[in-house]
Amino acid sequence: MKSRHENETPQSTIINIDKIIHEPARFLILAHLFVLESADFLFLINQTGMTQGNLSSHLSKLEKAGYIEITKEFVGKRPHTILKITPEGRKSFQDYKSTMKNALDNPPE
Amino acid sequence: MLQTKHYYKYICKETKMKDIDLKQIEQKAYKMFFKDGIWDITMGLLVLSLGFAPLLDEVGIGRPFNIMLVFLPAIFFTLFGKKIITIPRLGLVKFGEERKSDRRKLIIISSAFILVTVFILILLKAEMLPDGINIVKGELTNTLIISVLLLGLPLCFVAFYVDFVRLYLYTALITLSWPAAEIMNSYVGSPRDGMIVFSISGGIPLLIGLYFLITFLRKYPISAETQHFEEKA
Repeated sequence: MKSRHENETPQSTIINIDKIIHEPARFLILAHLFVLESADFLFLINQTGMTQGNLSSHLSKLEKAGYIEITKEFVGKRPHTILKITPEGRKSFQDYKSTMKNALDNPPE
Repeated sequence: MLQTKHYYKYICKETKMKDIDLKQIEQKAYKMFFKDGIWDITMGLLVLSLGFAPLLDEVGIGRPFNIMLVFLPAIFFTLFGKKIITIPRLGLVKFGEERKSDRRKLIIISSAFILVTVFILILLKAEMLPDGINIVKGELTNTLIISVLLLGLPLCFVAFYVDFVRLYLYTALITLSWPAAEIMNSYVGSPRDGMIVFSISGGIPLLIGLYFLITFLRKYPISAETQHFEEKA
């Protein structure tokens, strides 16, 4: 009996790609958090060019998937949101990158 | 099978994975924090103050207090500029381990340079330098060598480790200032020699910094919406 990996084709690898990360906006958010220790909400808005609502929505999805952690604190009297990629998020992002790189470097005939 | 092929082509086209360079993303984020012009203005103010410190000497405020006094605006500007101008517009970010490691190396190298400089100054003061090293005012070559060793090299290290490219230009300006002041001294005397030379070598980074600051303030205005967005997030 063949193992699961032996049964995988390039097409099935792509179909099974992490769709949470695959969304361009979320990919961009994770790409930034991957290279930084932490960033706040304002920083991501400036870097990604998203609207506040749009960014909030994507952050919620990433948090629900366990890829980022969101910490809300107060600086003086103003709320402040700090975002950080989790170890699971870091690994998932790396796996996603490898998968896509392999898919692009070895396209099916 | 046909659907899968179309889906695959769509994903490759839309994602453009090969164009994503994480190193570039990190560098772009890091260099954003130099686009506010604050470090340029600080350098400019520090150098300008060196030229004008002797004026305080003439009103009875001698060294080192005259230098400390004229340095104060630059110090305050740096301390509060980032907090009041930059962070409310760009946000807060902590960079990764590589940048932290560069900072640690910079602290070690800077500390070593400071110790060497203090040691040389002590030797100079005590007239204990070996024969052959004649640090006499008016000796242009010696001034240039000392300037390169005690200012040029350390500032180049800072520019390298902090990854602040404009600092190389400012380093060249500052390093050449002392020998230039030596040359000016024979024409205009002291303290005008320092005032003229340091006005130029300090004025250039100051003007560049002001340009960056104005551009930065226009690009990242603070609106009421930006100030309160986190309450809605």
